[in-house]
Amino acid sequence: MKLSMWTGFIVIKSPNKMNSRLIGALHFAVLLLGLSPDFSLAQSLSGRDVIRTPAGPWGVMEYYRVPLEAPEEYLRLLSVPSQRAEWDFPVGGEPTVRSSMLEGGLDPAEIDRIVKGSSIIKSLENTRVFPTDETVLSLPHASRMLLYHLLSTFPGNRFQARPVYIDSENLSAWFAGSGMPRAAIEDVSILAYRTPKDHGFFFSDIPLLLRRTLSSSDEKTILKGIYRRQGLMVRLRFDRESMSESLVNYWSASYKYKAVFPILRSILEAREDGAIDIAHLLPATARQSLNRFPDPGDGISGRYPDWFWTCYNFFRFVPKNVYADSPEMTELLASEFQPSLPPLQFGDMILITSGAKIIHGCIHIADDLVYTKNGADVFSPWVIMKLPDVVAYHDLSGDSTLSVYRHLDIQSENVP
Amino acid sequence: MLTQPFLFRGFFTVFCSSERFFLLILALAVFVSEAPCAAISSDEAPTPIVASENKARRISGPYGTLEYYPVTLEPPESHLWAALYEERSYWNFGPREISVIQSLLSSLGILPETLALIDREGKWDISPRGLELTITDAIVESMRPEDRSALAHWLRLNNPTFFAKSVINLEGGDFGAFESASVAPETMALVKQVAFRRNNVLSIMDRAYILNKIADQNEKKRFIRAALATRGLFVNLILDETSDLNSIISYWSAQGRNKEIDSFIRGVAATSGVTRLDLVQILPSVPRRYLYGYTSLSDVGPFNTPDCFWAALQFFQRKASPRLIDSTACVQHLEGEFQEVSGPPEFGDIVCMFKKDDNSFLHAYVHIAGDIVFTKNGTSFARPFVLTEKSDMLSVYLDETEHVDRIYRHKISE
Repeated sequence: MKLSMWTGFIVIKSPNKMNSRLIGALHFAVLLLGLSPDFSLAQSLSGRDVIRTPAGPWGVMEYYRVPLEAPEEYLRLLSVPSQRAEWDFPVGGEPTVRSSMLEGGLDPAEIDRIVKGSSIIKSLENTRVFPTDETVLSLPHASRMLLYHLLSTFPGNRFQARPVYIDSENLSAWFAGSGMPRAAIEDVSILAYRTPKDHGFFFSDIPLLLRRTLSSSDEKTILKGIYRRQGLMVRLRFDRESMSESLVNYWSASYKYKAVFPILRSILEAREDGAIDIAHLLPATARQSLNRFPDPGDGISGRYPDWFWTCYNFFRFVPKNVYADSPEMTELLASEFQPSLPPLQFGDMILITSGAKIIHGCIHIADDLVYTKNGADVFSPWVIMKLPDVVAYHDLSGDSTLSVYRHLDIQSENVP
Repeated sequence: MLTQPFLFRGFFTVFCSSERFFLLILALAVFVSEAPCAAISSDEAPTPIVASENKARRISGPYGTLEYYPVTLEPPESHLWAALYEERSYWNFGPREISVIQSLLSSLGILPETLALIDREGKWDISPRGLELTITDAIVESMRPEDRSALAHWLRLNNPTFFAKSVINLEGGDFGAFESASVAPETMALVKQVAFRRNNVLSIMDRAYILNKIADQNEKKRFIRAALATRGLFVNLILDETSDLNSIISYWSAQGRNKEIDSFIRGVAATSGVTRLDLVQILPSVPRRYLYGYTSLSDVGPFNTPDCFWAALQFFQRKASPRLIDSTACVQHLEGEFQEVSGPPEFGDIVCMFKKDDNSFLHAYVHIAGDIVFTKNGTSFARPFVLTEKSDMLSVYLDETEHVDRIYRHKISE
């Protein structure tokens, strides 16, 4: 992978390498959902342009990406990591490091080069590897993918366990307006690596990025840029012809506190080219949080909302504090939802499973757009994203499958 | 208006924790009127139907350029209940004697022919709710707008509960909602026939009569929904090459009270092909949650329901506080968290309207920009939280009551 300069933009130019087994599995899952199987980056948001979805029972939607910056006071809560890259391996010293890398699929010659280019500290708790900048920067793309995936399975490697997800090759567009120094963006273009799903990129080398800054002010700017999130602004487009009963029914699912049809009708009375921000069509709790970061008050009970909180409370007017690891989570899923099949409906819960573990869940909005909160931390806002991006974001192993659950009361059109 | 605790107190012990409690609250709360009533100019005929121009309008100021157009909001099915469709026409006069009311009706200026009809066809009953007069269609049809107006005025002053239950103020002061809902011409004619004005406020009080004349059930629903419709605005912030982003962000940030909008607005402005940002994306958390929505039972207390003051006080809060449904707490909150300011209102300022004569509270709303306000009119379950033009909001308040405005600004946390 190398920096590609094209009309002044910084672009990740990755090798055309794709794990056909993983992509096949993902395509299967997506086909199961009745969604577009096209996961190519050609469809991704290469810049800040408006993209229009194909027509469906929901009508036609258009969307574009917007950056979301966490409040300044949140950044002050961050403990700035060491500028030194550190990789944590299990107890055992250099032999363990070598054997782990070998099992992780790295080439022996590459392992040798990494070990020789690093300082290793062996302790009773773990083995810490401190690679030089040159070692980190010169890692071939394939090796970085394998190594960082391996590191994500060992405790202590927080940057590999939750890498920054970048859905675009166009880093200039991705970081536009963030104030990120050009040199830092260029570093990201070198250090970003493809996700296991080969959809979008991960970036894990925040320490190295910080190491190459010249001032604490630059550090803050970089952290701000790195912790900036992206959401999609979505509008439903409709006109007199397309405003069918099925469209109204699609967006009216389970509504109790708002009559959708009169609003859509009024818009058409005012404008021939009707358009409505999707926020107006979300239930109250989801609309309240859309494109917002959690507030410190959200964690006053001791927990911040996570994906299950977000999914479970999508239709609820008064949120209930249940989380992915709550003891009652399985019972709630079994008693209030049931597995469903395509075509998906507005508000369906999509679960992403890796192995036997549910790694994430999000809410189907329309087409391949979902409502999601990608982490339980304060730096994870509630956003609308494309499902392939959400899958790629969470699937660190490349083995995820998708399943759909529908609220039982939606089926009887009687949501509480 | 401020909430009216007395409305629910007597019923709570009986209906608490039952489904009937919800239905009862709905039935009562929906009729709590948005506006105090006053006498009207008796010779003023109901406003004829005027087709909405249905064109987006633009205003500009320190907030940037806003483009907005009207939308009609109707209560959802869940907020329409059986009692709304009652078809018995009657007037309730409270605990009074028949002879007293007969004299009253005469003194209100009602025509002798109508009084004679009442004598012949009206049926007097003394119920636990007070003296009731069941009236026939002929009596209803004999009433002139000025008769209805005078009677409504008396009811508002002397039996406000029945006034709130029977009088519906038509938002916007015209029949636009009925046009928008596509009610049948016959229904529209009936509405016009019984409509009357109280100064600027256009009302009907013969809902039962109209329902009785409509045969089709769906048409009855259309009529009820249109009668309870509220006029709102869809508002877009225009972001184009002429926009002064720093000024716009400064205005909508409200000196830091409204967070997280800076990168958002800049990001939208930087998107090719996008020149409009719906205001719902900029509003703080609580108004975003409730905008164009209707009151949820979850927000209702045993003695109070959300009203204009409740909606206004929480504008910049992250979450709506149940504490603020207590009217005492509301006043304390206003005094502690806000300060009265002079000069023109800014984004998020609460404008409180007080009656000029006795300084009592009349209404509160939140200033958004230009003539656009955020409000919930009254405690009615059938009135949503809306962005609307100030003139439309006042269309149900500007009877003959004179008022003064005071502006309150949320203090900035240290």
